[in-house]
Amino acid sequence: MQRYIIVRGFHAIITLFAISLIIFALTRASGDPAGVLLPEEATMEDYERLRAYWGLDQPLHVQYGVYIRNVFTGNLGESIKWPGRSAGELILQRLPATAKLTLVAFTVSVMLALPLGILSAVKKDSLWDAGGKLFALLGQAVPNFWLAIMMIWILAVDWDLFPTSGKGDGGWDGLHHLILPAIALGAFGLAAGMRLSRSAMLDVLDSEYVKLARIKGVPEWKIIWKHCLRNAALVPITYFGIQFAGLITGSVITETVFAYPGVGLLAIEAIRARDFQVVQSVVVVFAFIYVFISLLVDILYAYLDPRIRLT
Amino acid sequence: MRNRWLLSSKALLFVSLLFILTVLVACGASAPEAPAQAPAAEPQAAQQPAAEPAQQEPAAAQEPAPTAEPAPAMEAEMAEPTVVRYVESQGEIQVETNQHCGGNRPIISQFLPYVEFLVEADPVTAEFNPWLAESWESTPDAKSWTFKLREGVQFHHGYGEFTAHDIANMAVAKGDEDCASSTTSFWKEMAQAEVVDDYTIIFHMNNPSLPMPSVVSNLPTGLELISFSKQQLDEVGYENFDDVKPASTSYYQYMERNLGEGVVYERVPYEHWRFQSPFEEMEIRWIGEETTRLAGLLAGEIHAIALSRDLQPSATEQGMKVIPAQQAFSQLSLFFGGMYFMPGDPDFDPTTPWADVRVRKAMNKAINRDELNDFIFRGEGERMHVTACCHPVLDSEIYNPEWETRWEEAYGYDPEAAKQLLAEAGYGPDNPVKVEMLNYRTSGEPESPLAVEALPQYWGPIGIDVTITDIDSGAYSQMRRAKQIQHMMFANVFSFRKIQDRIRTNAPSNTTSHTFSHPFMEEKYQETLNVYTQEEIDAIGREVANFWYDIYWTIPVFWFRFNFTVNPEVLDDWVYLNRGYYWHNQVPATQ
Repeated sequence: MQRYIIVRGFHAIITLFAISLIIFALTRASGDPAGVLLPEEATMEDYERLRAYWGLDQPLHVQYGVYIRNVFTGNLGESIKWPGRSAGELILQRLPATAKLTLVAFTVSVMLALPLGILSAVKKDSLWDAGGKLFALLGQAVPNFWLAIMMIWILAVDWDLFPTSGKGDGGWDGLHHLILPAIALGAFGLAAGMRLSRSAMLDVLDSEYVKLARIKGVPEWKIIWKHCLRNAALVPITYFGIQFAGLITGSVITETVFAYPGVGLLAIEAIRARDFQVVQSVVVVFAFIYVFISLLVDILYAYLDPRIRLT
Repeated sequence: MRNRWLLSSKALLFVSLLFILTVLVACGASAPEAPAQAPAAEPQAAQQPAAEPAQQEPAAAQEPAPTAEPAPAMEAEMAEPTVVRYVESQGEIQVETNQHCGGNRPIISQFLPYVEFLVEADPVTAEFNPWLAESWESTPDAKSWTFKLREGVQFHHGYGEFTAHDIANMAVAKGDEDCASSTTSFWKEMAQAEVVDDYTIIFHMNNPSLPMPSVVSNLPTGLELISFSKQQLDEVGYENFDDVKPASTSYYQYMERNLGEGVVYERVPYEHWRFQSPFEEMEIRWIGEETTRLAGLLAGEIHAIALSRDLQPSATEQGMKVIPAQQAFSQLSLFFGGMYFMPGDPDFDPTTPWADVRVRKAMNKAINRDELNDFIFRGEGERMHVTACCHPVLDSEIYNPEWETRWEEAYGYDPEAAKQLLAEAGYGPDNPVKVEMLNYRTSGEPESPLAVEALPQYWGPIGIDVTITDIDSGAYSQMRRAKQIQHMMFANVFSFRKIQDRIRTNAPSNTTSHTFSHPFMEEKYQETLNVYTQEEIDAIGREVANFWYDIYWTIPVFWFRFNFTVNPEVLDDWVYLNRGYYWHNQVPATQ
């Protein structure tokens, strides 16, 4: 088991290194921020001076070396769009908002997906089931930016139930601002989780031990909630583990539409301003979260299923 | 039996409805009220900021005394506005900062609510009026400029009175090459900022400097000599200016910045000499998505937004109002790349089709401007004869009425004549003119890409091959600086500037954008360095403008007015100059 964890950890480090290299190359390929920052009247000397200030006049391998060295010393670099602030400081400042949004979206997804999926399976071919399947189909097919815009227009503008954008002042106001973005962010996961719960439940309901329980006269509610749920929940719960990381990285679009100031919006703002340091840092942080959660899931799998760690 | 009921459809439906009802009631209870419905009697408590900003207070903070001499012309009878905090939203800003150096002009919008300038440009005529400077004059050689400053103007947050020392400090800072701001090249030519007394400053320049009034004004050429407190800058240091509330002099003072969201300002706690803000607080919110901005306006959360013309009907149909700038300060033009006509310039490629004036004229005459006007500006564009100058009102001394009488022959829509001109220049079906249009997007300027996308339908039928290349605006700027725009064209939006600034920025020895490098422009620029009166400058300006008109140096499209879409229940009227360069002479809607 120990060896398995070391090998998986090593893979994770290689992945992060590769991602840092790719994002470094991509940001440089898009040009440099001096062209955006300088006024039109600025001279080539101004341009060169600004490039030198940001270290952009150095060869690419030197720039990358400096970047990696800084990362290892905990310095993610100074932001261009937000002068005087480090990329790390900006990410830390925005991370709580994204974490809150992701957590709410995730909780809502899980809390609704499981019971709705089970209900759909238990009431197979009923109106509930048809509605559930339709919801699962739409939830996965509708892009979340479109869903977000529709919710803003219907629920916030027409019905005046929610604020259109921003994150509010905290407390109830903050929660109020969180509801629409959380629904938009969590809709896909909810639909997918519901579909998985339904199919897993249908498989279990069709199994021999359930039939035996029914023959023995065990009450239906007990069969479903006690005997079936435990087995049927394994697949969706595995899915939700991965989905959690996906929600954090998927927050980019949702936060942009709702002008919700989290890490996702920070990434978009930094990309538009060609703020290399912030873009690189956000991508590496997102990648780290994703890789870390994947690693955790792998380890859990190995812990639960000895066959995996032996192969 | 009871357990079975729990699993029944009725039970689940009941629980679901109960849940939805709870959410609706809970959320509906705290939904923000529309501005028109905000109670007049108790607005302050309802909309006060939630927390005190955790920013450094100045050591010398104390309540400033009211100014002694309020300007009577600007005093308005205060009516009770319908909101306490006025919220305005625009797209994302390039750099979020209190530091005024090293940025591009679009960053100025976050400063404008709380800063002032020496000279004010009239929103209709662009003529200069006193602002922080009560009067100014130059020596006959236009090298020394004396400004008499208004007395009794107070800095915010208790930083005392605004004096000549503050403005001298700022002029010196702007001339520092590390500043790399839009006026650095101008202030680098300053020999000395002489403080005669607290209310008199003389800028001694190395060269005749007729653009001085526009550089110290709120025109796009200026916008940089900001009234910041020298005392505060000395105390906290320029590099720490993002950690404090900057002290300036306007009728709003800086309150707090929410990174990634916007900035909040508050009305000064004393009677301002110039204008008493109708709103207690003002907020600028940055929302990149236009649809979200529009939703915020319609939901009553935001009261004025920058909105592209194609979305404006969605707002006006819902009772919102579009308030245009007082004057058409912006111009949309199409530019020919590679126009490097200085003798011996290695970057000039003589095979560029539009090096031939007949091709430039043909490309001008192939465009149906009336149709473009409807497509881009919903018919609100105004005839532009020459790019970069010569508005009939703003540049009345330069404007030549003959341009209009000659317009149809010179620039009017005539595809057949255009085809004929191309044939005369040696271009036709077997040898088409090939154009690569650079298409880039700048926040808040949707006009350029629209114009680019419309071009193939005009140029295609006369045998011009157009390809459109999407490009990042930074990459485009860099290509222009590096003179790499060969066989390419681009659209650009200019803001109004005085003719002397245009001559200066288009002189081959001085330009960094290399739009049109020509010996005639260099000759005229050198002449401007040796003239000392505005009349002489205007005479040179007329020559340059006629030259530009006659040689088709660009494809002028339209003058247009920037506009804001506002909630008429909050804002009744608004006098402002242009996008990003406005000031807040706002007339609130009243109860």
